[in-house]
Amino acid sequence: MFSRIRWSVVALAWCVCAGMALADPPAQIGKPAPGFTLADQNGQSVSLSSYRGKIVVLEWINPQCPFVQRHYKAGTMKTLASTYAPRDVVWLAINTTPTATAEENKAWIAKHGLAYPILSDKDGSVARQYAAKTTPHMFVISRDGTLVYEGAIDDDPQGTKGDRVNYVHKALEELLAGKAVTTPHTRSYGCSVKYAE
Amino acid sequence: MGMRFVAVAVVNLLLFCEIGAGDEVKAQLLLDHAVVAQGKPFAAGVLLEIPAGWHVYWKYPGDAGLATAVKWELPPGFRVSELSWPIPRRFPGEVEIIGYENQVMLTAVVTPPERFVGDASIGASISWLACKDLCVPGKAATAARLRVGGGDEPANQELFSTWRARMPLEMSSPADGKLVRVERVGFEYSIHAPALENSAAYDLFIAPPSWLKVHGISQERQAEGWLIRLSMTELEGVAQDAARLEALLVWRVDAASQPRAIRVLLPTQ
Repeated sequence: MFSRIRWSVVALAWCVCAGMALADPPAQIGKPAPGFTLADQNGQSVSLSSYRGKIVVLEWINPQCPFVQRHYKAGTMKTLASTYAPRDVVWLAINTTPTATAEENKAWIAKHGLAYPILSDKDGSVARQYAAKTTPHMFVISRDGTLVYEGAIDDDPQGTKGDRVNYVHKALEELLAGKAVTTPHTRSYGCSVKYAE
Repeated sequence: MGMRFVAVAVVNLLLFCEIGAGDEVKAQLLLDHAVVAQGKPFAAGVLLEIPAGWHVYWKYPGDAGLATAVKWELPPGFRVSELSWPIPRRFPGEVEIIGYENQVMLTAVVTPPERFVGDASIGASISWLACKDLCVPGKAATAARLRVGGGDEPANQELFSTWRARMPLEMSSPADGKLVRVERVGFEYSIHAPALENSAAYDLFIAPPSWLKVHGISQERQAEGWLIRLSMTELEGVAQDAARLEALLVWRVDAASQPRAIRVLLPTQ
């Protein structure tokens, strides 16, 4: 009788643990960045795990957001991505907006001459795993798959500072120099990420 | 062929109107005096009319959005206080959004220099982000005039009175221990606040500087009222400045009344 109860407890504990693993808490600095597979604007599958060994930057995007538009007009993300691509930094933009289409994403890439894809996350599952709140919202993942930066693109939400600090640039320079990221977390700014109902 | 052109034109017009809706936030600058006595302060109010369904943001917008901002243009020697923000509200959504809908007036107190007599023009450059499903930034340059010296003629009294009633009570700490008492160990704050008439808990709005983040908030009923515990963490590597940490304790006497609030400034140095 006791052994049956003990096995039931073990089974229950296993189910609870498995359940908790399935509902992963949002990504945390210093922990493995949640894996995902999403389709890009051409319908090709892109998996985070395939970039193990490279530094990866995730950029939450919504072309209809004025903060995103301001940064693309200034070339903020495009310049960073192209500067660091030769140093093995992979840039992935993710559009969670439920009404966004592959055509819109393609048009944005063409308009700005982007060398990186826009992945579609319309059910918001990856956004939830990363607790993405704004567009833009930036995440930097080190070569071993650890999340090392999460937050704003820079310290200038109003777009008026002369000497703004670009936190992604800072994190990438530190990682490439083999140092720890000294500003791992900032409060992101932007339009709210649109989650599907 | 003609009909298709008309259809495209109409769709473009509708699209333009939808995207242009943020520009429909109307901004004006109003003063609470037409004539004010020499050297005496007066109130300047930035009044925003916000189209239905849209909102603009509080000084701390929440997880997304952008604070409404005002840059003053004053005659030489005129001083202006910090902006006073009426009690904001939360907007529903997965992400925390704090701001205003329909109408809001942000006010400041302007003080002319002692010796100034004559007409004065007060200017305000206002910028905001208006959001509904889309977000549209907007800005306006506004001005208002009054005469300093030779009389005292109030203006727009009802409007200023309405919006004064929607401001939080100021409660800077730890000096003012009357209504709210604050204890602090590092970035752990204990705020002792009075019990409310209907025993409801406070609705809490925290406006942190860029280098602090809310780690946890809890509220516990005690004999004398409420104990609010606010735990903040420093964001490593983010430049620290003198910007304050504010806690807004909001409550309603009943569902039909206007919210009331106490504004607590918390030390961070």
